[in-house]
Parts: sequence; structure tokens; C-alpha cells
Amino acid sequence: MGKITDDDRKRMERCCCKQCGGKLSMKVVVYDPYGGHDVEMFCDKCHKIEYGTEKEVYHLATRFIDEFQFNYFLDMAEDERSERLNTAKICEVISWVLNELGLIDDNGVIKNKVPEF
Amino acid sequence: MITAEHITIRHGVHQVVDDICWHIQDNERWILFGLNGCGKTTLLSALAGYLGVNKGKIFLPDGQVLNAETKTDWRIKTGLVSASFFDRCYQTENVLDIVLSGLYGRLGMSCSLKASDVRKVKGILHWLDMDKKYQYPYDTLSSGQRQKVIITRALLPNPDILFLDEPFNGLDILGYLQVKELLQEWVSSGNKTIVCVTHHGNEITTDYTHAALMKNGQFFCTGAIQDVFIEDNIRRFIGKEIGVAWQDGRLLLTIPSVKERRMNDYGQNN
Repeated sequence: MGKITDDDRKRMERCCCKQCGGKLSMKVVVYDPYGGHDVEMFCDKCHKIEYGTEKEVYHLATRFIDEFQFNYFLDMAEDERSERLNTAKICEVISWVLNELGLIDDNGVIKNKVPEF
Repeated sequence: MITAEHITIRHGVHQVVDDICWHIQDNERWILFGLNGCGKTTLLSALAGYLGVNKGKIFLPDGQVLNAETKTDWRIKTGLVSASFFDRCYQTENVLDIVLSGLYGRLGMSCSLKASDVRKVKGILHWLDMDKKYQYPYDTLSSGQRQKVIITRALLPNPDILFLDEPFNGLDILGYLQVKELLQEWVSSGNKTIVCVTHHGNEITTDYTHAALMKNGQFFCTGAIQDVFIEDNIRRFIGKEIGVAWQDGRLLLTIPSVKERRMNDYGQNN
């Protein structure tokens, strides 16, 4: 099995899928029925290996997409899939901003802190 | 550097890899050659730490045995390029996550995005004309684009050894040249070892130092590349009339034309 750390387990409990907001779980990903498998964080709803994002970040991202009709994936059909990909993209942007402001760390979003500009 | 001792891998009752012993030294470049279904991909996946063996042991350069404990670190030191393998692992995962997972020896991410890593990924993807695709899901890419993604994944940690399973499959001519250049740059960056599976004679060159011919899960013959790819060996290996020649450091494999075969049959019947 791959090395799953305590941080991974905490993250699984705390975070959600950055595309659909679904719950994360630890899954045995079988890529060879005769002995090839790894344990990975997984989104059951999207059926994909997923590292996830903080729930607060996902919530902000969906609001942003909704309010500004943001679309990064111009060459894809505007459907549910492109909306999920756009949400994931905005999650990355928001996470980066929060990290730069010192408002997020390995334990999640730090609330009640004055941002450092 | 890496030693496989009597390894056997079974798929049900079928022995896909059957009692193989193999010593791969630093800086050697191997061609693993065989017909479809002879066990090449399975052997490569096991050596790269993605598949367990039923019997035998694989010893790593530091003397440790490759197992569930050591496989993650070993995967970071090696790179596996195998479309047939990674097509089974990935579907809707995005390109950036897939490529970055190569840094952790896992199939998924194990750390938040770091600007320095993303820059490195985009550098390689840009060279492969793929930088605009780094946010896209794997299943929206063409086979050539997928091949570029898994090559980038393999090269990102700057591994000491690459296991290449038909690395040029699906690539157009530009992609072929770009990947070739990328691999040459990696090789020239230090003490690098390659094990490459190919079915195409024109990809077998004297840049490779050794070859292993594989048949029915076993090694038919191993040795220096120009000693292995000789007409007598290849005829016995494939079991058919086949011409073998080296031209400008490149292997030429030919079969008799239909006309030649008809003439031979006519000659034999009269």
C-alpha cells in the first residue's frame, strides 16, 4: 500500500472534493486485479482520486462561479462537468490567496485572524 | 543496481512472468523485446514498484527488498511510462494532479500545490505543447496527449531509472521528436538507466547497450544489444523467416515480400 499518513486521514475528515463538494474517503484503488493496488483519498461521487479542498474554500468557490459566471474552460461545452472543473480551479485560486495571507495551514482555515498584507 | 531474483507473477493460473532473473547495472540502457502478451508490461510494472510478485525478490540499489514498505520511495527514484498501465489508474483526474503525484510515489496528490512544482510541470508540458491542458481531465485528452502526461509524470522527480513501455505510442511526428529530445536531455543529465519496451525495429538503436528477448513469460536471450539482435537469434525467437540488419546504428527488421514467399513456395513444390 502507498504511505497514508495521519495528515491524510485528518484531511479526509476535514476536506471535501474540490469539484463536487462531496465527502472524501480512503479507497483501495485496484489497477491490476492480480495484486496492483494503492490506498488513496477518493471522491465517491466523481469516482476519482481526489486530494480535496477545505469546505469553506469550496463554498466560496461555488458562490464565485454562480455570481460571476466564471468560465476558464472556454473550449469545453458549458455543462455540469465544466462547472465542476471551474469550481476546482477557483478552489485552487482561493486556497493560494488564503495561504499567502496566512489564513490557511495544514490544519485547515484559520478563523478569527487578521490577515497580514 | 537492481536485481530481480527468480521472480514469478501469476494472473490466476497463468504464469505471466515465469522465474526471471535480471541484473540491471547503473547507466545501462536495455531494450525489452517480445511479442504481444509475453509479460513485458507486467514485468516492468513490478520492477517499478506498482505490482507485487508471487515468488522471488527484487533487490533495490541499497540492498533492500522491494515490498509494500519500500515501494513508495522506490517509485520516486524511478519513473514508469506505460499508457496501458496508467489508463487503468486514471479517468477524470486532472493533468496537474496526475503529474504531481509522481513526486510522491502515489497515484494521487499528497501535498497542497507548490508554486515551484507547478512551474516545473508547466516547463515540461510547455516543451511538449501541453501547457494549456494542465487543468484538463485525463479522459478528455487524446492518446498522444496522455502519453505526454505520463512521460512528464515520470520525469518530474528526475529519477535515476526509467521504465518505458512503448513510450512513443500514439504520438504524432512532432510529439515523437519532442519526447525523444526530452529523454535524451534526461539521459545526458547524469548516470541514468533505461529499460524500454518497444515493438518497432527502427526505435532500437545502438544508443541502447543491452537487450532481453522475452517469450511466454521467460527470457529467451539476454546480452549486449548487437549480440542479441542477430538473424539466427531473431528467427529462432519469432519462429519465422525474418531479416535482421544494422544500418547507421539502427536495427532493420524485414520479412520476405509476398512475391519472394511465392517464389520460395514454388521452388519447394518443384
